Amino acid sequence: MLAEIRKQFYKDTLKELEGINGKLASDNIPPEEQSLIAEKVFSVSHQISGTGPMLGFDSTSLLSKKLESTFYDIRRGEKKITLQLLWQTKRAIDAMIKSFNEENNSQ
Amino acid sequence: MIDKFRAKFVEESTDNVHDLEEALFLLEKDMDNKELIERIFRAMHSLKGGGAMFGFNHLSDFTHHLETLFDWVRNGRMKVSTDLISLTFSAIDQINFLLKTGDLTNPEDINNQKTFIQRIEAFLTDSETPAASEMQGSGSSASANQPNEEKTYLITFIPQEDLLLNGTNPLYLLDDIHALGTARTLAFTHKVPSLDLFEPSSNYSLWQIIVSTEQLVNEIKDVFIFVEDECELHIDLIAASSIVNQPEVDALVDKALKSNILLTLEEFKQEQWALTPQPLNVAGDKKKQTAAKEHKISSIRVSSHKIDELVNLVSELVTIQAQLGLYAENHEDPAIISLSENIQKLSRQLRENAFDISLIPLQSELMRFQRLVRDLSKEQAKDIDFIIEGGDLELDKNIIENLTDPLLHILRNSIDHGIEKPDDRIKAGKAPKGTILFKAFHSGANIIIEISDDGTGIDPDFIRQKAIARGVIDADTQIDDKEVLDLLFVSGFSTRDVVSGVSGRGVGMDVVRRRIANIRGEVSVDSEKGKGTVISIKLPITLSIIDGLLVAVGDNKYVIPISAIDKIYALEPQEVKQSFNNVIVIDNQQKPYIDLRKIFQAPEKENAEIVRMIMIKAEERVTGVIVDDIIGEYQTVVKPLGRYLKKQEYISGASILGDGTIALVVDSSRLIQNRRNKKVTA
Repeated sequence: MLAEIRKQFYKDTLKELEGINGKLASDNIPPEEQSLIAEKVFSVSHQISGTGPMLGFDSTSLLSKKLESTFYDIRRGEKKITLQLLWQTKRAIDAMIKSFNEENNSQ
Repeated sequence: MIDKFRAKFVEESTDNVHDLEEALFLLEKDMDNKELIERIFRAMHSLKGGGAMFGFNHLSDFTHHLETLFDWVRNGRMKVSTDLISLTFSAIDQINFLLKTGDLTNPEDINNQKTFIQRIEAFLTDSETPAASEMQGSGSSASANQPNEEKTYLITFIPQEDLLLNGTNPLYLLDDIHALGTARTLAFTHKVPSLDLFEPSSNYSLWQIIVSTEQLVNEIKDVFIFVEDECELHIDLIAASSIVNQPEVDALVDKALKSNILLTLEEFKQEQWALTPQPLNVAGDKKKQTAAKEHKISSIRVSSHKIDELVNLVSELVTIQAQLGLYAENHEDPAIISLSENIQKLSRQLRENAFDISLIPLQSELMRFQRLVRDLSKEQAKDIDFIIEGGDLELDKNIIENLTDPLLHILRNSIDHGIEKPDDRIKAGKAPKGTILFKAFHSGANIIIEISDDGTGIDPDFIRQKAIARGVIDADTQIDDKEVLDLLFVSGFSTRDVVSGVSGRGVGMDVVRRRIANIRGEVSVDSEKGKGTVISIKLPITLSIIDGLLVAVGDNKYVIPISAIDKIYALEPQEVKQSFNNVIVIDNQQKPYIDLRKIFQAPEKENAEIVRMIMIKAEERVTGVIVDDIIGEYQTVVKPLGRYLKKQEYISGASILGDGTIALVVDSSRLIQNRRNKKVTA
């Protein structure tokens, strides 16, 4: 049962992360799209931070916590989205996908 | 395995619900607080996500609707109102129910849940304010990033050694800085250790970058956004133009690289294009604050079962240590005596530590009280300010578990009988809003909890009349007001003529006193008619180990808690024999006493030269207790008596002594109480 949950979590989350990265790959992301991506990054990273440690994705969760906290500030209007930030988000998500795959394979 | 995860989810969700409830209380007082709204939303969001994952589908579905509610609030589509808060409070009850039961199977429960969801949906439809439905995110464009005049910055980037472990590639970051304009990067390697200490997965390099860019400084900060907790970062403006390719800069860079010493702002200041360098940002400072947090887990969650086990083991250790002490004393072996003393010292420390771990803050239960006051005052149309002081005090978890119900009962009484309705309060010359003060504080080895209200108070004459009418006392019984108030704790005594759903069933205060006595606490009441009532509860901090005085009565040994002892007198047996009505005169004062030898039916010792009278106190009353002899101070591990001896009134537990014999622990407050009620005739 647990293995099943884990597998499903891995599959769903990976799909979401890759989906976000696909959107972030564009050179010119219009502002309205930026808000939607930010919202998505927050919810996925929140999900990984919360559930990841329980399912053995500890390193990925550490990374996701950083994203979560940054995008939490963005949602509250305390931080502005910039193209640079979105670019760094893409880098961070790349690192997360790598670590996510490694942690999945090592179990 | 999955059950374990479900249990963990329930445990964590209970904390989440607790947090939700707390935030809701605060939101009621500060309805525009965005941070609280966000906190509530996040708690619901976690419940929803976790619920779906761990098979709590009804919970997930339910919180999904609630989440929508607060999502609307967050986005300005709906305003926080008292109705919304009340609805959410009721929803919390439903969440607790769903956490307890899991997915619903009972048709009635399913129906209730459905009705509740319809209520939420109706609330959504009714409350939408279309004008306010503008999304928040519109401000988050890249407008702040408009190009500017070119400026030059010195960036000092000193990553921690573990930077690479989370997948960060610092070279990418350097690339991204280069992409912002014209840049020169200086790499410093003086931190690289010798080969035997070299860890391939660690980062030992640090960098300085001089970059001239039209971009605003925020753009530079954003490059480092996800590594700022793992590095020391300084971004300083060094020139208001592009100077990267100036010969002076070449010279500075050469010098730094050759000497492997970082560039300083001072060096730039001396140049002609210099301006006063301004430190712009600073992950370094933030880092200092967060450094202490890194890699340190400030608290861990341990199951209460494990804590119980630890406390139990420590208790056993204390008993064994007492045996060792006795053995050492009997054998007079200096080596063993020294060992025994060291073990005693350690076990005392261990005991204190273990008990400290088992203490939990009172705060954990306060939410229920706040909730009760809120709901009940609304129901009874009373306006009440509930003030809590000392909620952070810690008590043994077993005490807290047993304390909640009595405290809820007392609070219910305060609201139902105590605080008047606003109109009545105005008539009585009081502020329309009543106050209930919940105050907890230390008093020696005890904790006192006082619940006071500024309500109608208790009329002693009224209680006296009721007591006579109910045959609790005779019409000619002479008792003072304090004793009259004490009648409230007599079984079956209720002054309320109408039985309400809240109180008035006469099964209240006697149960309160009994429950509190079970955890070795005392409860008393003080009241002034028209002014208000104070209920005081005195509690020990911990239950299972007490410091006691070991005494002998006949052939048996008993332990009297030291915290209850006031004084000890030595008396001649003759004085006791000649005393009248269990009162003895010492220092020209009459002292009432109880002869434990009679209570425990121990024969009086022939030829005894002295007996001891130990003055014990409870609820501000002092009574003497006659024993044959005092053996000494004793650290006592109190064990429960079990079913057979439960009815035994004057004994609250038993303890195993070092020599394997058993000593019974005397319940001092029960002795005093019963003497007052004339039940003890000894």
